[in-house]
This record gives sequence, C-alpha cells and structure tokens, in this order.
Amino acid sequence: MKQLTADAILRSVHELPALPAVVLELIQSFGDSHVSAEQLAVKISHDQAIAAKTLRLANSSFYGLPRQVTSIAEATAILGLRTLRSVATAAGLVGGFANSRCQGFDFDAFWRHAIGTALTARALAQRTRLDEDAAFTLGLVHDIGRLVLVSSYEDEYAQAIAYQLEHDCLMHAAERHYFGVDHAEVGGVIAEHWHFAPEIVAAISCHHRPPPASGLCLTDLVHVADNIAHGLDLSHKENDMVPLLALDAWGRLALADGDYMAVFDAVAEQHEVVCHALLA
Amino acid sequence: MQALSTSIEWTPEGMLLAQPVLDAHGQLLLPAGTPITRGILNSLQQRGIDTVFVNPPEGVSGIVDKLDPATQQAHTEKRLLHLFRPAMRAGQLNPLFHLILRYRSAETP
Repeated sequence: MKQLTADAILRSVHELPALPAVVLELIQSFGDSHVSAEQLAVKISHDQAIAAKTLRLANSSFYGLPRQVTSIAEATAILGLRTLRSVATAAGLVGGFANSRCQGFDFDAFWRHAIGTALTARALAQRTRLDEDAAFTLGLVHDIGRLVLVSSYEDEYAQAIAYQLEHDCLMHAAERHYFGVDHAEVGGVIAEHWHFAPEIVAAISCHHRPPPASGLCLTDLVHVADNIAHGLDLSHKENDMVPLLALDAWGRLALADGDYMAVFDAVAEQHEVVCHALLA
Repeated sequence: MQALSTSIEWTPEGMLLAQPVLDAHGQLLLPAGTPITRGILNSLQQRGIDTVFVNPPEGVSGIVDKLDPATQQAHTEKRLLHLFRPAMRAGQLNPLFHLILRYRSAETP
C-alpha cells in the first residue's frame, strides 16, 4: 500500500504522457468569454490528429449538421465557438492518453463511460440551464484521476483492481485502501495544476460526494450524470456498478421523471455515434 | 450474473448453456458453456427437454432482444440489481434504479 500526498500526485503528473497543449488551453478557456473564435480555430487546425477527429465528430449525426464541414473554421462558424471548444476538447482528450499496461484496466470501457457521462451531463444541463458545453467536458474528464493513477502506478493500481474484484466494492473504496486517496481527489489536484476553471476542479474532486449547497452546481450535475451513465450500462463492463446516489444532489436537480426519460433516450441515441467518432 | 431460464422455443442461437443438460437418467447430454445452435435446439426438443438455463455471451449485444419478453424483463431486472448492488447493500432507496427499470421495461416489447 502507498499513501499518496498531493506532492506525490503532482510529481506523477510529470510522468504522464503530456496532453496536447491545445487541449489544456481549450479546457482552461472555459469561463473565458474573451477567447477569440479565430485564434481557437487556428490552434485546433495546427494539431492534425485533433482537427481530423473534431471534424469527424462535428460531421456525425450527433450534431446533425445540414451539410459536411471540411475545415475547423467552417465548423466554428456553424457550431459556434463554445460547442466547437467542447468537441475539440473531446477529440484531444480521447487519444491524448496512451493505453495503459495496467493489468485489469479496461481503457475502452473507461472512455465509453466517460463519453456516456459527458452526453448525460450535457442532456441534464440543457434541462437545468447550466452550461452544457462545460458539462460535456466535465463529464469527459471527471475520472481523469483514474488515468493518472493507472499511468503512474500501474502495479499498485492493478492490485487495487484485484482488491475491488475480490471484495466487490466500489473502485474509489479500493483506491483509498491502496493509495489513501481516491481518483476524485487525484483528479482535482491534477485539474488544479492544469489551471482548469475552479468549478471544474471542484466538480472533479467532489463527484462522488457532492457537498451541501444552496443551489444546483456542476458538481451535482456530474454526480448524477456519472450515476446515470453507470446505470444505463454504457461501459459494457460485466462487473460495473452504480455508486451511491447523493439524494440531496438529486433533489437539487429537481427534474421530473419525464425529463429523465428524455435524457435516457438522448444518451441511448447518441452514445454509439460519439463513441464511434472518438474511439475509432 | 445469474442464468436465465428460457424455453427452447425462444432460445436464440449463440446463447451459452449456463448449466449442464441431463437426460431423464441423469446422463450428461451437454456441458455448461456449450454454445446453442439450431441443431442442439432440435435435438433437445426431440428428447422432450423444453427449458434450459442460458447466459448471453460476453461482448455480444442484441442477443438478449431475441428472448421472449418475460425472459428479457427478467434479464433486465437482474442486470439492474447487479449494477445497483452498492445501493441494495446499503439499503438505499435509489430513485434512479426505479427510473431506469421503468425505462428499460418500456423498451421490452
């Protein structure tokens, strides 16, 4: 067992495969209303892999564009700056991490769940008037701490996975047993280090334990989205499990049953399309 | 996952036997894990066996949709109980469980 401190976590960041600079800039720019669409389009276009994947997702039925777009500038003009930013962030994140050699870690299932959470968070945000593009990106990165742990502590994380299977406990409980911290805390430390917007950092850190709050926030949203994505069985992992639901966060969403049914429908319809665009 | 009991008539090819099939004398006809084929189904019907326990093969989607509606519903409920086991163990009344169960049940023909 290894007790990880915040310093140790930050040291491990340097061993991570570096995220493309443009991805970090895109995530850091959430909340910045002065960012220029032209500058963003130029930056995305400079990374060919990200640009190609961005266009593939923009042209998928997920966005239902009336015609095929062939350049990032054109995609920006049609989708708008905010949406393009979340599409390009998704394109850069998925594929920005090399497949881990950690035994028992299912990379594909990880991203299927992250994409499912992103789609669910976006659909919930549309119905709760929260920022839907920030919600989508948050859904994608909410478990980023897990990628940090599997990349930096392959052997220890493999033991944590074996412990989780043996005890059939939640993965964050197994992580706490082996590291003294869980992936949510690790993700929060990393997100802060990468200068993500404060509300994104808070939501990553607390996505399994939303704190008491006076109003609805992104933390509540991603907590419920994470639960729904597990409940809809989107990772296709036989041994998956739904974490405990924080009923106060659920209450703050204040959605009717019909809203949830519409969210389930939207996610079911979009998940395979987006997974195909981003994971292919 | 718990195996599903299904009638021979509604068992789709590709399912895996979850339990061995024995004849009336206790002789082993087919071991657990055998993939179901049309020939096997015909042979079992000729021997008067009308129910088997099966599991869907891992990673193959859509096969459960070919089961009869009651078995599909049972499969849905078992899978959801499996996914929501932390809440079940903690005795949590989870509104999400009931919503997804209702959603999945509405999908079953």
